[in-house]
Amino acid sequence: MKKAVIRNAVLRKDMILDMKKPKVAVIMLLFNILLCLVAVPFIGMIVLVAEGYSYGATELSYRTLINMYMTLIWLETIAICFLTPALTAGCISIEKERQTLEVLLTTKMTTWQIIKGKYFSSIMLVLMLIVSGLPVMSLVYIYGGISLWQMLLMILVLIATTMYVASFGVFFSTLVKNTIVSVILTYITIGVLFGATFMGAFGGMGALAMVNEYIEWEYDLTLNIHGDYFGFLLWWNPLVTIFDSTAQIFGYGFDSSDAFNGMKDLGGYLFVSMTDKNIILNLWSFISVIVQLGTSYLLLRWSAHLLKPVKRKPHKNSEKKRRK
Amino acid sequence: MLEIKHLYKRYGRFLALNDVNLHVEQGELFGFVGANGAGKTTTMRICVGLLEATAGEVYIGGQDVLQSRKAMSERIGYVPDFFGVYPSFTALEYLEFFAAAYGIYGDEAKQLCLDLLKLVKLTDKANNDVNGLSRGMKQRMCLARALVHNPDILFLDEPASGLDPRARFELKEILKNLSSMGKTIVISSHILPELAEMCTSVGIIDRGHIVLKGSIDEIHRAAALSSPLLITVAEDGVDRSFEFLQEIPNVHKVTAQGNRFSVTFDGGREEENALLKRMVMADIPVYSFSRQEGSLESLFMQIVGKNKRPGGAERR
Repeated sequence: MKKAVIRNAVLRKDMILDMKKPKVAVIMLLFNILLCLVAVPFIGMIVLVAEGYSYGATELSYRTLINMYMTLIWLETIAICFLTPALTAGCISIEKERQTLEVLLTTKMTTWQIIKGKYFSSIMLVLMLIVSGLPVMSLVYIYGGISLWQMLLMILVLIATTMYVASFGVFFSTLVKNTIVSVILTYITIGVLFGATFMGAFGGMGALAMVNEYIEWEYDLTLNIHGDYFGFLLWWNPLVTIFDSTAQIFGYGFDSSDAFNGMKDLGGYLFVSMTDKNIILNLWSFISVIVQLGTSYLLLRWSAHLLKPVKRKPHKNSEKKRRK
Repeated sequence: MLEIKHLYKRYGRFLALNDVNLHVEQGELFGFVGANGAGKTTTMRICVGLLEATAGEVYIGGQDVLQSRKAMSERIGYVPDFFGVYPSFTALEYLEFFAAAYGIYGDEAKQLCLDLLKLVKLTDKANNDVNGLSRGMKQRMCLARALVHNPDILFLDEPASGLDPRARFELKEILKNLSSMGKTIVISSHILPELAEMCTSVGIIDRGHIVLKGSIDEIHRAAALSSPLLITVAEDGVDRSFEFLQEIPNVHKVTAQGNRFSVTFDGGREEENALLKRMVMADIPVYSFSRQEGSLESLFMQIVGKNKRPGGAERR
């Protein structure tokens, strides 16, 4: 017997169906055109600046190069945040609408296998976009500036972000019957999540600072309740993760390699004052990727549970007893 | 092969299934008949694991499948009352997908799917887009899909609905063929005569309860006995006959049209004989006494309408 490379039937099926449509090729083409439209002017600018200074020694603007790289990364981030919900939030609900889910649920496949298949097939396109964008991203190597390892790390963070955002899409797709409702709920949740973690972090710290101050003023007591922990809410915010990852490489404003400073400036607020907890700050991206992937796993597990048509086995005699 | 014991399904205060008990032998083609909302689909969906039962047991080959999802998915094939096909898939790809869902891949899957397409007479449509297939072909393809893991029992929910007579005939032939191969098939419909043509036994469900079950011969006999008695009496005996018949406990409804009576009567040949004897003894001039020719439709209507129809007499 010939062994199948992909053993998840749902993943195989969706890949075959996706590849039959021109959708994948068209989106990849448009995305790469967009990346090129952004990258080429930057390269042009670098060349022009270099030529302008070429009377003496050649001078390259690494700042422009890094700006190009950062712009491309944020462009990919925006694409991930906007495309992923659209591609994932219909994965289960469309099976409900097509009335294929019920038949699927009667097969040997478990709901966890179905969810996994759906999840990976729907993020496949976004992952392909990220990979297809690599040649444009690699323009940075014309002049150098970042290492291959740094670029690889950045790609991993982008993949993690895709996986995180996608899990919300899969969850809402399982929760509701209608794809449109699922897409709307996913966008709202992602938007609220990004906003709420920011507001929660800064609002929480601000509120506790005010409480501390009030208690001190009113009762002459110094409680000093630490509001800094609210900052950890940002672990659930992929934008901060990406920001921190780039800051780890370039430093915020290229004047510091400390991610903490970068985030501090981003918020315009000293939200983490735990200088003794630098290890958390240094490993911010790593921890937040773990937290986000953990959250994704839980969401997917929950989705698999929601998908189960029979959640509890029947009691053999419960109804007889009830009727007696 | 299939044994359903004390199956209940409750939606809040509404009891959709009320102590359903059913026994189907291996190789039987069992017709599950009931009006819309009687509980056919609910029973089937519980048996195939798509709906939670409130209480009860469903045994297939001696194993309670409600307690084991694995056994359920391996032993049962299900064709719902909708097609559920993927656009852009060919018939072969569609079947191969479901083969993969049962852990069958590669050449083995392809050969199996081609064999199944041959079984349902769709070999020439193997590479056709499923969306381009006719309703009857789609139904046969779904049947092939349900057979992909070689289940012991097949549940088919209203498979003939919406099919033209030719497609219906083809489906019937395939099901009979499967039954002769030893597959147990449970097929639901709200039309009893339709199932009587192909099934070996039938169960009628009404308001969540099995009200009649038996072999197709038994059902035909029941149909004959379910028809009203047609009694003709002399003109001068009409009033007396009307009063007399209303007094008989087995008589549910008496309709008189001139000197002809149509009597809804519970009882077999012996009870009929006793009634005639009593009428003659009561000096009623009986001209003719016979059962109206029985039909499965009237039997079905009588069973499902029993609780709704008030007893009584009517004179035109």
